[in-house]
Amino acid sequence: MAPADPLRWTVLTLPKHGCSDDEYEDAWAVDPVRGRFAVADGASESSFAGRWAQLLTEAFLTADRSNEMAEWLEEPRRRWSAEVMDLELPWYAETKREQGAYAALLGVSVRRPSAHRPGKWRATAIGDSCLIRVRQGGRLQSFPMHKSTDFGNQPRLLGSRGAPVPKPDRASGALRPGDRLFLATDALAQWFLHSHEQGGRPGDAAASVLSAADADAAFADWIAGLRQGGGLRNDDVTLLLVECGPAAC
Amino acid sequence: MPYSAEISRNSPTAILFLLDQSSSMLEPFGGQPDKRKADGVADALNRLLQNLCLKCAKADGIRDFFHVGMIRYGGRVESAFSGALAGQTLVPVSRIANNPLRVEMRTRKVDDGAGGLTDQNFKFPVWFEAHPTGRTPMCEAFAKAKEFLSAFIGVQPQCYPPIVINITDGQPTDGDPREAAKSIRALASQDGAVLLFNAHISDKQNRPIEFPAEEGMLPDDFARLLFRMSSELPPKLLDAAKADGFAVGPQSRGFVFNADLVAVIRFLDIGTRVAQSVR
Repeated sequence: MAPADPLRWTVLTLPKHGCSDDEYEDAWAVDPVRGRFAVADGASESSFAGRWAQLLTEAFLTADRSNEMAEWLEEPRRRWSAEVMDLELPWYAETKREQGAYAALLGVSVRRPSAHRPGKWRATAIGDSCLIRVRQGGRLQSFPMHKSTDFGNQPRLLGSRGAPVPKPDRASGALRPGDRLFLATDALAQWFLHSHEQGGRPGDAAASVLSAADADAAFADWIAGLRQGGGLRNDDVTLLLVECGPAAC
Repeated sequence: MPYSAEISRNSPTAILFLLDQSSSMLEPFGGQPDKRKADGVADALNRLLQNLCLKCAKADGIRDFFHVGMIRYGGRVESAFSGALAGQTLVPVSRIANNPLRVEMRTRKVDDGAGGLTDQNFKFPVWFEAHPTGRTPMCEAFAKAKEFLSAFIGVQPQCYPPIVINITDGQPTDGDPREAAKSIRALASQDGAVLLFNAHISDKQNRPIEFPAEEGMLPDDFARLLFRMSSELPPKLLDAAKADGFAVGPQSRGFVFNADLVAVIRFLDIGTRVAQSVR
């Protein structure tokens, strides 16, 4: 039997306003054939956080058992140390490096629905990057944060150096044709939930931006507008959409 | 809402340290009797500067979220910078980070992971050394601080309100400092009034007190004077203090007794997040 078509996905990113592209410290990675998707958010008060976030997303994709974080975390930690520990740095960068890098991680595994069995998603998270499933008609389910007021300034984060592995939050759910899965780092996830709580249709708004002819420009305009007057905190932004539309499933 | 302006490279705020280096600071420090109070001030300041630099440090350098000044008062009132920064008023934090007087190698005990302790070397930059002398012109130091910060707010009118951190034994010799302190707290950016915080380095051996909400628990008149001159912590700093485990209430003030104010640097939101374990 031929392998199933890969899932359809789109991702858009922006650095914090006032920062350059190379100061963006979120990360994302996808393996649509295997149905694995991840976003991560490097804690910007730590050093080499963007690289750590990237290593985490890649490790989630390639892990044998992606939900078993304690099994696969050692490898990205080892790689992070190998890349940064020998660098000659001024006193402050050296001290920050000693403290390690920190990041929030959300990893999602997706099984497409078929004629024989329903689709399913499984998610693992440390911190406040969110999976938001939007069903046709606008019904929404969010993980691991459920409400816009759940977000704080000190989320649980994964450390690159020696810190114990926090117990990840886990969830799973059914995936139906037409469902959209949004993976978003915290600022946009919080806006998304707040908009929904106010009766808005953030899923439709986000999907139309992601499908625009010039999606990068549309995303930049949309985010700039939300930052100016729409209640979006100024932070790095990553939005990854996995679609299970009738055409894709 | 006041005290909500973003602190960023485009909109930095100022932190100004006032350092009591009068001859009364030659007396021993209550918390550590083998140490002079003046050295307690120097240590406190160097730790504050180190934490400030680290807060703004990235692998590729320092981001200028803050402009930093330090004024010493002991005999005269003058800039406390020396070395490459001698005589400066307020300088971007990157210049602080890159111009310590020296970087010392110190040792601390850390968990060895096997139930014991082991020595760990770490770098400790030094910007300021104690040279206590003369009387305590605190009122004059406040006037100088007001001058620096008026100029800064003139250039950055929308900034997060500047913060003054006064480290002293609370024994001014040029009059009652309350009016001068009030005058600093009356300065304001569009985001709110300047914050005046006081760290009391005392010869009393009482236990440290951090961010009290009332003066009843304070051990002497000097502590009460400094408490009264200190600003209340704005709501976001209060929330950060609570999250950090401090027992604070709505009227808690930016005042500590025989403790340092390093925690305040952690409380400042520069739009970044950090794991609770990073200290």
